[in-house]
Amino acid sequence: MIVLKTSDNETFTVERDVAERSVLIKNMLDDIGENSEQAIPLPNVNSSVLKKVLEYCEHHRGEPLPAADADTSQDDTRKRTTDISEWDQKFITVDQEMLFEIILAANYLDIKSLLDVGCKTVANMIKGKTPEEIRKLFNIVNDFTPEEEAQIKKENEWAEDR
Amino acid sequence: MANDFLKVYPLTKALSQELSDSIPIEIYEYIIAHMDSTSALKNCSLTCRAWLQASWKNIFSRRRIVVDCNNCEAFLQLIELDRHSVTIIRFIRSLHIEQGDSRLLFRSTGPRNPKTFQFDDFLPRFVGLVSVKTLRLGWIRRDIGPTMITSLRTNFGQVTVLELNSVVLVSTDQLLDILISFPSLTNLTLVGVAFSSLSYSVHEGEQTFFVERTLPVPPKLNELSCNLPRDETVFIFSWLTAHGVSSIQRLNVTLIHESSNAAISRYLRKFGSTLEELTIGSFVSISPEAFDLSPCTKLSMLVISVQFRFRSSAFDLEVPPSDLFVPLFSMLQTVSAERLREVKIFLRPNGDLTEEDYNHLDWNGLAFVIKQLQFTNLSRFRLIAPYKHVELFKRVIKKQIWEEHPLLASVVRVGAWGRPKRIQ
Repeated sequence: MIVLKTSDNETFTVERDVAERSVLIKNMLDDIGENSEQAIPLPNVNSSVLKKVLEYCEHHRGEPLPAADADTSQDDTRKRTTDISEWDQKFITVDQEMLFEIILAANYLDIKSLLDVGCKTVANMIKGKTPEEIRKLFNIVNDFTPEEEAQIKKENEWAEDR
Repeated sequence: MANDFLKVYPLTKALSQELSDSIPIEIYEYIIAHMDSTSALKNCSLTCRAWLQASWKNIFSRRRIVVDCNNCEAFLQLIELDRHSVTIIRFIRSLHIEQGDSRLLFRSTGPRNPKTFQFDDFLPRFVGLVSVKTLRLGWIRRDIGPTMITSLRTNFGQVTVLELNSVVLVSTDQLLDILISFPSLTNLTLVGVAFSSLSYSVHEGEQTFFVERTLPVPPKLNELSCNLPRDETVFIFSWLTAHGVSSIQRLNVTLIHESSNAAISRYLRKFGSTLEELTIGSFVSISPEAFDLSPCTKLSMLVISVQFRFRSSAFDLEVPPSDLFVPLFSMLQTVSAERLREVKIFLRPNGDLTEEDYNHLDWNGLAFVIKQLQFTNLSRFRLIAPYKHVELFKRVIKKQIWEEHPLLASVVRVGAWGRPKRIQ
């Protein structure tokens, strides 16, 4: 069993194969050796988020991990496949803040499949929104000049079907 | 499924400033990389500077940009702009350049067409296209000179997928010059490439080509698609055979004449054992003994198109419908690949066929062939009819195969080609 310690000082005891869905934790375990009883500190993840992340890892335990040197074209195809399994959809049906917390945790813990689920979900949500609506959602400032916006629109026309 | 999900879970509330500030740009880039809608990506590109490049990278990694005489000036302006600021130019992955006219044509037809877009004049200016991996060059004519070849080498040396389409060249030398301009080429499609002159002699059924230089080593191709006239097909396959090109895993050919079929067969006899997928686009005028698939021992996928010419005024093949499958059966009988998993037969009739017409084809003969030992491991034998015939075709297959030969019901499947595009 492995002990994980969150940013709010809670500890979680989990089976090694569940924890090793995270490449970060796997590498840490490889570094500190088999028999260490030390808790692994995860200063960037709080307990409520880690609980969700571990629920995901538990459900997907035993599934093959994406290869680190995966072919770029396969990687691109995986990203663009917007289908999300039924269980993953249900799992990721959380409030907006939690969704982004999970994405940040998946990125930090290096859990590619969870990062994919989170990012696909957000990508699906952005569909149909105008640039202004997207900016509002993410608190982004429009840093384009009107001339630059016009030029981008003009260049985007090259993506039309001919 | 994703849409249903959004109905119950829309993204409507703005994120808190604190959380928003903690999301690194890499996450936004990753989200953008997961998008599959061009219109959504265009909106992302207009959101802010930080999102622009990731959005363009995604959009232009999967759109083919077509440049021809009508828009080449606008495209060249973008190339010029890209020297000073970021434009789409550096993100384009697939480019199709169509030569609009040629000097040769304008000389012979009077005053120069103002829309003339000749590669020797324009390709040297196609710089900065650093992401282009797939290049289609169309309508090249035989007056191209060394400038075009140099430009291809300099500006498109990184291309891995090349298609030459509707091209007339002086000689094999011009084609070879073009091909060896792409040292990383792995995938080559040649459609309608012809030479003005091609000299060869025939000795014991094999053609020897007279070329002005030593033939270069061909690129290390994984995939080759060849839809060429007879002599050009013979030249390509003789070249590949002579240089022992054994890297091809996916091959697409048309069998149009005995001599070109023989050249492809010679290649297959030597290197067919490396093929995993073979597509035979057409087998007009093939004689039953002319094409042997037995060297292709590692095939996992075989695709064959069967042309029908019922009631054609232009062609009168005098082949009764019951015999139309005979060449197909001959080819299938030669299959030896133990790993063959899937066979697809595309049925391509000219004009409308009735259910009765389809019923007259030799389905029992086909069932007999599929039941043979070499197809024991087959998981699918797909019969693919024109989209507009698919319903009546299903009735025919139900009656002729699924009911008459129930053991084949799990293997033989019906599909459609030429499905109308969905309007988004």
